[in-house]
Amino acid sequence: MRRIGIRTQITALTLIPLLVVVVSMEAYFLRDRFADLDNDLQEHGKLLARQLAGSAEYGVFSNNQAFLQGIANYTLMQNDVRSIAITDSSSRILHHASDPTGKVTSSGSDDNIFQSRVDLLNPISIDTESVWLYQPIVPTQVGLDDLADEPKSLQIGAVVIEMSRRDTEKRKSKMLWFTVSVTALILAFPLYAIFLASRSITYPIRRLSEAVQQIAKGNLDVQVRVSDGTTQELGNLASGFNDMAAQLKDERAILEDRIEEATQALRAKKEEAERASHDKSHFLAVASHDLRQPLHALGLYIAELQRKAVGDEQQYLVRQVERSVESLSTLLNALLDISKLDAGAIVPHMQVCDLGAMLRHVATDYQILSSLRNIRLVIHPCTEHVHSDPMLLERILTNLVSNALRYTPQNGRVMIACRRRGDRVRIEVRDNGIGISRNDQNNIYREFFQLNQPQLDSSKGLGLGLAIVDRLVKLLGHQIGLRSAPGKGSVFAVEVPIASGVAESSMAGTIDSETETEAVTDNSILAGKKLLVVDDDEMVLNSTASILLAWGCQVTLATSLSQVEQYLQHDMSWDMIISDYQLENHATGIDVITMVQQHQSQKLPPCILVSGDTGPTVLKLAAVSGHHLLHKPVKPAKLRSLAIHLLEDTE
Amino acid sequence: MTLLLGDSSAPYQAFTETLRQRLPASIRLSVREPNGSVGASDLVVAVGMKAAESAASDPRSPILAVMVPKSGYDSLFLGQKMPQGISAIYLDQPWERQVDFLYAVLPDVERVGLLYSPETRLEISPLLNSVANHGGSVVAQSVQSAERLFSSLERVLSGSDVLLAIPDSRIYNATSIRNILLTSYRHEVPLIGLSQGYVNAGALAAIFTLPEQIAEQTAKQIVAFEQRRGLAAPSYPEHFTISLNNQVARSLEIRLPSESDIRKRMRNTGGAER
Repeated sequence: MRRIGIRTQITALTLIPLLVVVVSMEAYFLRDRFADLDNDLQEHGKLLARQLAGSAEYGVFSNNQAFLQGIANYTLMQNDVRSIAITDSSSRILHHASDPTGKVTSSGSDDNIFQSRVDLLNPISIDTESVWLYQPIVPTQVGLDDLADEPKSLQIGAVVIEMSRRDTEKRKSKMLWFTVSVTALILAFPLYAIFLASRSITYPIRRLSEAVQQIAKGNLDVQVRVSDGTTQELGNLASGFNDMAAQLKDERAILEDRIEEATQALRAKKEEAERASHDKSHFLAVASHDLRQPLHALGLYIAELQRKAVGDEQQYLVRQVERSVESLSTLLNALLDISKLDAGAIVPHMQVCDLGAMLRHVATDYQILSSLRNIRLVIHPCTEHVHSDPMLLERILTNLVSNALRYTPQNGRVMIACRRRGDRVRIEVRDNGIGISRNDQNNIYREFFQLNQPQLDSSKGLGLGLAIVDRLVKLLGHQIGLRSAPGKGSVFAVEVPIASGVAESSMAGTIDSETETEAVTDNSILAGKKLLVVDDDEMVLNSTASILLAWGCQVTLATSLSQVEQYLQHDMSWDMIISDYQLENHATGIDVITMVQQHQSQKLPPCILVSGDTGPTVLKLAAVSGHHLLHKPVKPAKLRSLAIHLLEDTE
Repeated sequence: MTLLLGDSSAPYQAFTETLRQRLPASIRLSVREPNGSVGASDLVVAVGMKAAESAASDPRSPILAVMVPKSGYDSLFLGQKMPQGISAIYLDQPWERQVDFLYAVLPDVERVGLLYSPETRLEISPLLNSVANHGGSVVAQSVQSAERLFSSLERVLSGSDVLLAIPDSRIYNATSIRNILLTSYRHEVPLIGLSQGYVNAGALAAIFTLPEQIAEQTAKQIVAFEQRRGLAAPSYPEHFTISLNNQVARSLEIRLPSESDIRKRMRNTGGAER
């Protein structure tokens, strides 16, 4: 149904009854008046006819044409009279006269017209133009007191008068128009009144609805103006509305205050949390740096000690110390990693990674360990590129591989393979080790959880590897699955999305396993090489220097950037630079390299950055500057192989 | 004594009233309407033509017809043998009196106009004589029908100084009198009428006898009949009344003499009555 406006409804409700009343009354009035007019005309005609009949009596009696003409003309002068005929008793027309202003009719042929229209029995005839009236002429009776029998009075003639209806019709139409105009006026007044009244209703309602829309838009300052012309109810509504708006405004102000308070509180809490987080990150950074520094030095010293120890007993002791330090280092790294992950200090940097290179790298790292334990480490070549953080993904894989190696008995086999699954790559780390029971499968990702395997005590880990894997997988948004049964080995599978566009990942520190294995026995290339070692920690500096000296290198030591500058001013040059990343006074290893580059006109020697900080900025800077980065504590073997590799490249 | 009334109209009532007053108490009067049998009576007084006709149809008693025109009485009773006796007192005036009256009113009249119809039964000769005696002449014109009345009237009026009405209802009646008077007025010819009605309608003057006057005469006749047991011969009324229309006279520029002068002149010219 169409929606009808208030004004239309009010107009209809008011106007329709009024219209009915007015129109019916005026129709009645008009009908009455028209009948009156017709009647008046007839009566006037009858009167004239009677008068004429009376006065024509003598004229008819005497057949006096002049007389008849006189009275006929006199009668013709009366309003509305169009024509007159006077006949004698045998209906012969004695006189005929017509109004010269009216329709001219020929007198001769009118005889029949008069006769056919009216006679004694039908004295009145009406057509559209005229009213015809017949009046017999009967002689006036005059009493003579003669006691004689009165003869029947006889009709001696008749008068026929044609009354024109033209004026009557004119008056009728005039009256009709007048009535119609009056009706229009009568209707115009209530229409105007309705217009005013409905305006006093619809305007406030429109203002109200506009105000409601304003409020809906959130503008609570809206006030509906209440004018005096407004009806009481609408006035109440408007003032109620205003009250409501004001109330809403107040409530909103209160609410805003509360929200502001809560926001302030939240902000304070957030700042507090951020501060705490920052403190924690800072603590972790400091801790990782400060804890790794001595461990790093310790490792280097042990390597030195191992070389110098004589006798089986001493060698045994040194090996035991080395193993303890190694365990300590591994534990520390794992603990720091977990802490950093939990603290959210690690932010993944998703990029395109060459999965094949990454797998080769992992394999290289574990080749020695696996061979030591007589486990076959098999890598299926892979050409996929994936979208992930290369550092973190590699960490996941190394942890999985190390975990697999740990729980695989001698003569076992660990295999790494990739399978394409739609838009993802499923990286599987399989082993044929002891397997994991269904109950334990739920717990393996918990910290410090370890399968109880007495036979494997010797290579027991910390129980943090899978916990870190789990956290990293979640952080990267990848998925990890486990298929395993006790005694049948385990399959860990990580699903990583394939990178849409294949691009070479800029991974720092990828080393061919061949070169390393080759370098294990080759000391010769290091001998006599001039190396610059920069570290703000003297213990680390000395330990590094001692192991490098043991490898036959000439070592220049510097604890600060200014010291390096001094060397450079004495025109010293080196074959390789090994620098700590974080130096005193916010200087970095990169600054050292830059300085050397500025002073040396010849080609820049290869540089190795060593860092106790695994923060993303360091990694990124190293990657950008194109230098190799090693993490503290650096294993002497790793340092040596990298150094040899770099020196070979330069030669 | 039976009084047979034509109807109960005013003239008859006046007549009856006057008659009762004039009659001695010994005479018993029984009033009847003319329909039905009259019955036997010493004397039947028939008032008006209808009563006269009724009485004539059952002639068992002597009849005295009063207030009848002479022509009517003649047509009813003339030539009939009425053993019980019959007499009348006419309504109309004798010609001589009429003519005397005419000349008393209009002494200079030479031509007296007269209209008559084929049915008119009047003895004209007394009139002609009377007029001739006064030195005038009569212009008579017959009226064939009501439609022809106007032309006859025109003709008679164009040749006369006065129109003398005669008691003939075919010519002079309530319907025609207005037109006759109008026409005569247009010809400036005065009309001498036959009753007060003529004067009222526009006649210059009229001479007639009132019912009361006839009643008085009738009472005398009845008393005489009681005494003599016989009826006198039919007679004209003894008394008469004169009516004049001064308005008409003024319109026609006629100087009317007074009534007493008229009566005096009538007496002088030899008219019999008072």
